[in-house]
Amino acid sequence: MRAAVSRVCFRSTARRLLLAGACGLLLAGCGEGDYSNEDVDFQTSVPDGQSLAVPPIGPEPTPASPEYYGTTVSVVGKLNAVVDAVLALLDRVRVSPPSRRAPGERTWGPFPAERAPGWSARVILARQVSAAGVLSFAYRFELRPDAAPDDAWLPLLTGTAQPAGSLRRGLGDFQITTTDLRAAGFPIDDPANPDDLNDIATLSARYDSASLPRAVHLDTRNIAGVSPERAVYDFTGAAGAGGQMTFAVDGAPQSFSLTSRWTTGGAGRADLTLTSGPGAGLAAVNCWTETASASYTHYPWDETRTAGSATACAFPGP
Amino acid sequence: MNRSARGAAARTVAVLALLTARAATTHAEPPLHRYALLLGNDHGGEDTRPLLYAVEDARRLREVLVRLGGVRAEDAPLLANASVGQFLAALDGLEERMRAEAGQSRASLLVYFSGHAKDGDLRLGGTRLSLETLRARIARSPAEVRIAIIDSCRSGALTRSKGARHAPAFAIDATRPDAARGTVFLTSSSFDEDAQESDALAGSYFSHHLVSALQGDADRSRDGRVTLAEAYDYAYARTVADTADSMAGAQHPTFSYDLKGNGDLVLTDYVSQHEGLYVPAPAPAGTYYLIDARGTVAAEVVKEPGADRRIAVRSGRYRIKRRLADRLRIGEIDIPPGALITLDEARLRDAAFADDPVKGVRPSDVRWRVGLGAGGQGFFDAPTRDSLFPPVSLFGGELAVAGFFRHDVVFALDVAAGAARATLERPSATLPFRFRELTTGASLWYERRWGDGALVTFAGARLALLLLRRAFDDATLADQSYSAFSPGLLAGTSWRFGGGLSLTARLRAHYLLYNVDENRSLGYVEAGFSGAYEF
Repeated sequence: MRAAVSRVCFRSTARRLLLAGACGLLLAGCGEGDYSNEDVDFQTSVPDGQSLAVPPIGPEPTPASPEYYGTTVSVVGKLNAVVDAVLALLDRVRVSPPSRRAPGERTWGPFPAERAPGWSARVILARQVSAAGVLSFAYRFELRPDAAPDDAWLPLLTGTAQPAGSLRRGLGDFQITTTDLRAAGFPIDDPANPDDLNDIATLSARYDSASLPRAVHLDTRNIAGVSPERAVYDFTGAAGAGGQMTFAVDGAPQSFSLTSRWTTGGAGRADLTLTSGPGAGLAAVNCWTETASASYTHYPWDETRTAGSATACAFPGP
Repeated sequence: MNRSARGAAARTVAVLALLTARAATTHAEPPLHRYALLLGNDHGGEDTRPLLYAVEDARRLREVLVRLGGVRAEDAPLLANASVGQFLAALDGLEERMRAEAGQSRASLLVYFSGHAKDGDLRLGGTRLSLETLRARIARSPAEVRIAIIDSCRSGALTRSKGARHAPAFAIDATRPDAARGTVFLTSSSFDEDAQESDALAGSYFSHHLVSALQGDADRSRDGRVTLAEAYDYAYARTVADTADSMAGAQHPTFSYDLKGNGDLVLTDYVSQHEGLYVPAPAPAGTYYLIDARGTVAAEVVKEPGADRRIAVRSGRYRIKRRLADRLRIGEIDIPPGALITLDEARLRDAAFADDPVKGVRPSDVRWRVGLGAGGQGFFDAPTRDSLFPPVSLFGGELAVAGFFRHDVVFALDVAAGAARATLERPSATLPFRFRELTTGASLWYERRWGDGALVTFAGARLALLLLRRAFDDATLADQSYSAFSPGLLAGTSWRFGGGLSLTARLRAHYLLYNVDENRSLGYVEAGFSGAYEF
């Protein structure tokens, strides 16, 4: 026979209920996930290429387009590509939850570095609040050979972002340093992607996407032996509202500065000034219409190429 | 004929007349009309826990008394979960009929109670009947033979003041010339003992053995009848033996009697039905258990070496078991109506103890419920609602079983899902998102019925698993999710309509530990309505 149960005593039932209740309370401590508002703060603070991209100034160059229109389009493309390449390093931050959370800091990785077997990468974001109460996020992208000690991380990208209340908009700066990584054997250059960080030794940028017009300043220096030695990009403008780009190159035998301005409709003017080397001080002008056709060209070193009228330019001279 | 001869003849006639008259007086007892009033009460009031088998005990004893005890069905009212007032009214009704038949028949009354007793009172739901009041009421009955059987905790208090003994048997004086008259009290336990019940028997030990006794296993005189003394003797020994190793300790039935007259009180004539099981003399000695379709022991037969036994169980299909030291002997037996089947022990087969056909009965009132419902969920603190888990409407279903553990305990599984739109305001951005939730839970609650049972209130506990997810409208942001177990409490009210339908209003309060950004103890409440169908 099974054991008798007293008609008055229910101690065994109470014990089972207490045991079940204790198990329930223990399970209450079991929670898991990546549901985090702070993660969102970190993820939305870092800029992406899209938020800093220079919008197209007009149609693709045609045989009727002046030389400096094509140069401007090319420079804009280069600027966008470099910025995109740099900020692509932070893509993982945007689409993945962090690997580790600490108060005021998030870490993504380590994870395998792309195109570099035997190397690992990580991204660290830290929240900062200034004395004046201004919120910003500092980030760094680091690499390390898998066989290296845990603390042997070498930075590739560092930066800060100060959010402005709109997704990935705000003030910020970032820097690329490749010297130590090149010395450690990391394959910075990608022959298959000429618009990547190929030949770049250092790159510093600052931007203001908090409000319109947007401003992006990029200063790149190539590794030794690669010309030009330095290129500086300065863009101010906004999509559909025109803009201005200054592209300055320090090279041999000549250095120059190209300032391009364009209207909302795409008509514009580029002024190229030789800043050093043969012909230093000479300035050439290209103007174009909204269809990117030349409306005025002037080359002081080759008057045969001067055509059109300066009055047809959308902008007066600088 | 001279005077002396006439005188002698007259004296002879007078003596003969006197003798004849005396003989007529001695052998012309009116027939005995048997009455029985059986009460089973699972509920004993607010300070007691509901019993499982008290009503079942009463029902079983009534069945045996009607089938084998010469009690007509209309003379054996069964009161299930009745009040003291209802009991006294039923008793008055029976006694009124007794008085109406006075002179035409003698009456015997058997009152049986199975239920709670506490502090000297029988507990009939929320009403109480003191043992002393019961004793006095039984004593006043017009029935010539009054038998009271009380199966409840500490019922021995009823017999204690009368010098009762918890002794294995009592002897009736068989030398008196007239039929027995008087009062007998039997109790299932001593004044300081609990009465115990068994899931395997689906009843109390004492009542189970009493029923087995009345079906013939107590007939030691082998006259085809079971007397009160035989039944008590049997029930006492079996109850003590079965409860000796229990947590509450051995349970000792008691008796007291105040009888005059000749012969023991016959309770059942089990051979008259010619239906049941016959265990022949050559069959191995031991205890044979007859197990019904529910897996409970319907009757027992204690067979002694070389002696045959017979037990008048109802027709039906049974599994039969005999326990040996190292194995069981089990088999099946079918008893058709009106048939006395002889056990062929050779047709039983050996079985391991693990294959014991005695499974124990689940409470007979197991009920299933399926329901659908809707409700809302919201976290208590505003920052959590505004920036983390927004309020959400939930729709879902529930499957519940009532009476599986106890007849007033319900176990339920539920699942619900919901969605909401919200906006996350952060220093870096304003981010609209879609929030989704899937929750599943297991609940255990106690129910209490009010009035006629249409209104039920309940309270209990629940353990839920929450799966929470948000997807930002900005596709460049990854979805986020969180899952956690969440213990909580619940309470509510149900309104039972006819046809098994009910409508429930429910409130739940839960705890949730959020541990992503930081450890935060959160609480939320769910309120909702549901409709259910019970079957």
